[in-house]
Amino acid sequence: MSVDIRPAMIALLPRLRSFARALARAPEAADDLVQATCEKALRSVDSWAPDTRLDSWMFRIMQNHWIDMRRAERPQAGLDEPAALKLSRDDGTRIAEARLTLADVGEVIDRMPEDQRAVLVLVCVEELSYREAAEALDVPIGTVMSRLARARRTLIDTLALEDRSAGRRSGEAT
Amino acid sequence: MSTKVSDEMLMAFVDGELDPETAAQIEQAVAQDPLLARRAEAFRASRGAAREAFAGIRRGSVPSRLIEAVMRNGSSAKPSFVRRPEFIRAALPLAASLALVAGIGGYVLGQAGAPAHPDLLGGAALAEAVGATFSGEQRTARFAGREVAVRGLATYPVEEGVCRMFEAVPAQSEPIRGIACQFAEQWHVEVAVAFPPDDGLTPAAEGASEVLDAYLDRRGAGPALSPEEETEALRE
Repeated sequence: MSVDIRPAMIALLPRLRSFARALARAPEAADDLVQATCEKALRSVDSWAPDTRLDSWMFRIMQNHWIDMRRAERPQAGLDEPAALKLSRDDGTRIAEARLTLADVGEVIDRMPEDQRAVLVLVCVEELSYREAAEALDVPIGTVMSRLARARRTLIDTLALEDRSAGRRSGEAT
Repeated sequence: MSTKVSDEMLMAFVDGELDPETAAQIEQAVAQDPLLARRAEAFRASRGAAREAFAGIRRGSVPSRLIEAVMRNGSSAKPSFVRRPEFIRAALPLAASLALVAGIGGYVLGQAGAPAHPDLLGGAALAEAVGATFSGEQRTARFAGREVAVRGLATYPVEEGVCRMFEAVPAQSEPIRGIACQFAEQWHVEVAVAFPPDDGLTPAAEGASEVLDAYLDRRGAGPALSPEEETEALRE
């Protein structure tokens, strides 16, 4: 091992934590996931090509590790997803009227399917390009786009972003 | 009219992911269609909403156990830290809450926008100055043409030698706190953290202390030495 990647890895921790939060949702579980990811990455550091992006490589390790873990815990997985996952459009409007707080936005994101949360965070929070996100998640770029568009459509509808921008533009009260 | 442009297409447009030709077409369509413009605006806003929802995590302090996990793991395979100046700020996202520079034998962590004196840590001079400054003492040294006030805060016994917590305040710059250790007669700066003055707003100082404490724990440091013990420990 000629290059010590630990400093770069420590610098990445805030970003790894937000991606982990998108996958695991619960803060403790997310930090456990970050820790497991770092440990795994350090064990397999030889498979990282130094001229490639460390962040994409680690996001990918995290995603794979998460999938492996979920697979191992299959019997309990059903409990994790509440039945009332889908916010109907009516619910969304009601939430918007009640003025969404940041916590609520987080909740809306938490209720999205996992694959949508993952791509939403990689692109909108971590600012990866579509191509980079596709590489990190190991899916075609078209899949990134369709998941991302669905996730953002959910945000737009539940937060009533379209109505708000209409109100702003035309001066109407919303 | 606006229904002709799919959500995906419009989203790729606001994200700047379209080729110039297609982007120009969408731009024109958006300019001519208020409904489409509204949708485009909503997609732009959705990015901001997602970002805000995660801003707390991105800016929050990283639990020391994670920093620990990284440092501990690599060190079993490779016992020493990086021994050459290596600046990795380029790898940092703009909004990163941790700015980190690896100096000689150490890490510098701080808030974004506060690069923590790489030049200062890039030399063995700081390590030597810390080594000569006993706990409670203060001295002024010059590194890279800059005056730096160095203060010894406490000294701890560790298995391989001693570690000293220090504060270094470069002239007209933010203070840093760190730990330098003497192993085999040689002083090295092992960890350094930007240590902003307490302005009552940022918990940065708290996070900084956590990092230093985590380092000492990892080294298995004992309680701080008394002045007599310190003199004794460093006699040879």
